[in-house]
Amino acid sequence: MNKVAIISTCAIEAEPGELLPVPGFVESQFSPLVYACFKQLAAAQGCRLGGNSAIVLGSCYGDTTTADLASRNLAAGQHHNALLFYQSVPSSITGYIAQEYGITGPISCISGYGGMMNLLIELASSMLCGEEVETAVLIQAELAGGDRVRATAVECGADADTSANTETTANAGDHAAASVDTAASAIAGIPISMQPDSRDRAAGLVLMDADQAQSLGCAAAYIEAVVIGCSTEEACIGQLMLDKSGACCTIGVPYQFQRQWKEVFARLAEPGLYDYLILVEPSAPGEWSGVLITLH
Amino acid sequence: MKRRVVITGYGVMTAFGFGEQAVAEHILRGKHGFRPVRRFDGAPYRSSIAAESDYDGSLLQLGIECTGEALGMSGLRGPLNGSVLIGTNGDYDAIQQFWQGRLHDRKSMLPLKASVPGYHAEAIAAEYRIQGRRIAFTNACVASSNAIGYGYDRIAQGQDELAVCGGYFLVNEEFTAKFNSGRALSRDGLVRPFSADRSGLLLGDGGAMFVLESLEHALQRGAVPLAELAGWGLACDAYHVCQPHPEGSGMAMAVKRALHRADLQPSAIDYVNAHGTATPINDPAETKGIKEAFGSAVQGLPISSSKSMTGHILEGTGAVETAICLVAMRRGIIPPTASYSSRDPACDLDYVPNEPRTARLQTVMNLNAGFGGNNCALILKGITSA
Repeated sequence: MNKVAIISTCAIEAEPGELLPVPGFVESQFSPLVYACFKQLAAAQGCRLGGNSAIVLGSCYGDTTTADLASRNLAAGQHHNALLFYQSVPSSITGYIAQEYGITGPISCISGYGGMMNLLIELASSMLCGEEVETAVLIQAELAGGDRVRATAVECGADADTSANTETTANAGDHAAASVDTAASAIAGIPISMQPDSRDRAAGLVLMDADQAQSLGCAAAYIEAVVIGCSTEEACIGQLMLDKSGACCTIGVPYQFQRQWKEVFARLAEPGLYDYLILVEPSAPGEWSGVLITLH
Repeated sequence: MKRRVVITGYGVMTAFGFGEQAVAEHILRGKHGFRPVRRFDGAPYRSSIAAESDYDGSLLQLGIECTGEALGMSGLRGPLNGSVLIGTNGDYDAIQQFWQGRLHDRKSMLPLKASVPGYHAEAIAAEYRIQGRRIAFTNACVASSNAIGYGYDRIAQGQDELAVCGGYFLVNEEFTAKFNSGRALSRDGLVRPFSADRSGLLLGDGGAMFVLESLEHALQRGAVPLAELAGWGLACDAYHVCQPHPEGSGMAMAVKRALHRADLQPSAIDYVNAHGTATPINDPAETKGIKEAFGSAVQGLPISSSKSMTGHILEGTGAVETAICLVAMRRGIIPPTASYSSRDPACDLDYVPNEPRTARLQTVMNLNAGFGGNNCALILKGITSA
């Protein structure tokens, strides 16, 4: 993967109903969550979005409020709801954003099991390799899990090898982030990206080609590598740090992707202590993924 | 240095059943697959017609079967290193059964995890022991085209030697209700793309999975490439949440990007499989977009919509129509736009009305569009030039 620059970051949490609505999108806070995250990312200094920008939206479960509302209504015999028609797909809110910001570059929406942000980084990096895209906006968003999502997560967890999947030790470097005590409410056996939570949450990055960001003086840090598919956490860190020397901080929050990235972003705001940040997480049973961020 | 990407195997299912022969016997002969739906009671809806197949497996089973066909044709068996990239929004029947169970105390037959799009990529990778990225693309009607395109990028950029990609959809009540609410369904039980009397779309069953490889990888192991995936383009209208740009600007941009990546001039394209939904808004916009992108090369360019026979396969549509393009190339037959009855002045190109045509198809394009103004174009080239 090409080295890319991080030029803007965002991590937000919201109680259901807390965010400002987006015109045309009803009932669900999924689209307002994505929109709020995008607005924060776009407001950063040096972030120029437009015709040469791309958007990559990732969500494991997607807009579960809309999906469940439409499904419940149908099960109850209510067959008609025109508004739920278009907002049931994630590309509708990205289309809304694209209209507002004049974005005509590629837009992708994905769902994955684990290591979602790493998948988004790779996808965006691939877009930045081409001639059409100068800036890529990545957003990972998940709604607070309702009954159906929690039941889904429990079912997925039942399939998995719990011991291989949930034990996040982050045993290299600084451990401050691991003190976030939310693991008790995590569902055993599923990756962090899939863990349901009581709050809606999103994390986002704006990436740009490293050389271009350097010339514009707007890079906060650089993403050098993503690895997915390592059998152990140590192997993952080893692969990321191959040929690297310097002070490294490894972040591994056992539960909640948004807090992981908030921790990463906090470190970006305090340069000087470390040369590298590594974020590692279990992405599937017996599989680890990670990202290497260079702070200079 | 960009590497060349080839297709070495594919599996396809439409309303007419599995395999290339079913496509050739029906779609290349202009036969549609529309009939009253049998999976649910269609009475509450504007239309209870769909291109429903006899397939009685689950959505995930369909994906697994199509993948098995594709791998079998390519001569590959697990364990494999490569990406699994699927266009799907997950199985809504699983969500529906969950709520039916809650409201009416019925037992759910489908696992809930099948409702998670990403689970489909995981399950297919596990079934065939494929190690690598597992991603579901959920961007509506360009989802599976996007999945194929990303597979192309990963191979062309040297991140993978191999990718298994495509997408699928089965007609269900959830989406029938949604499209009915959006007043998008055809009133006369037929899909008539580009025709003056078109009144909307109908849904259809289908899926297609492809094995993509770098040309070097395919040749090294003695595989016979079926076609080259020469390039692709993805672009957004920046216009509306659920309507295409009236000038088809995003479609034109996607086509131009695909041509640029494939290093081809518009005149090199022998046939375009259009999105052609038969909605009043899509078809004139698509016509304008194609004219803008192709310029003078649009004269004499055959364009057809296979949705007139397969119905709209939503997340699976890009993959299935890419498979139809591949079959068309292999058989030298352009599929027609079925049920075309009268000319619309706003749709004035050659839509291959009702009758298939024999032609030497060296380079073809599949074009799709979706909610949010997403547009995607894929270009296939005959292997003689690969």
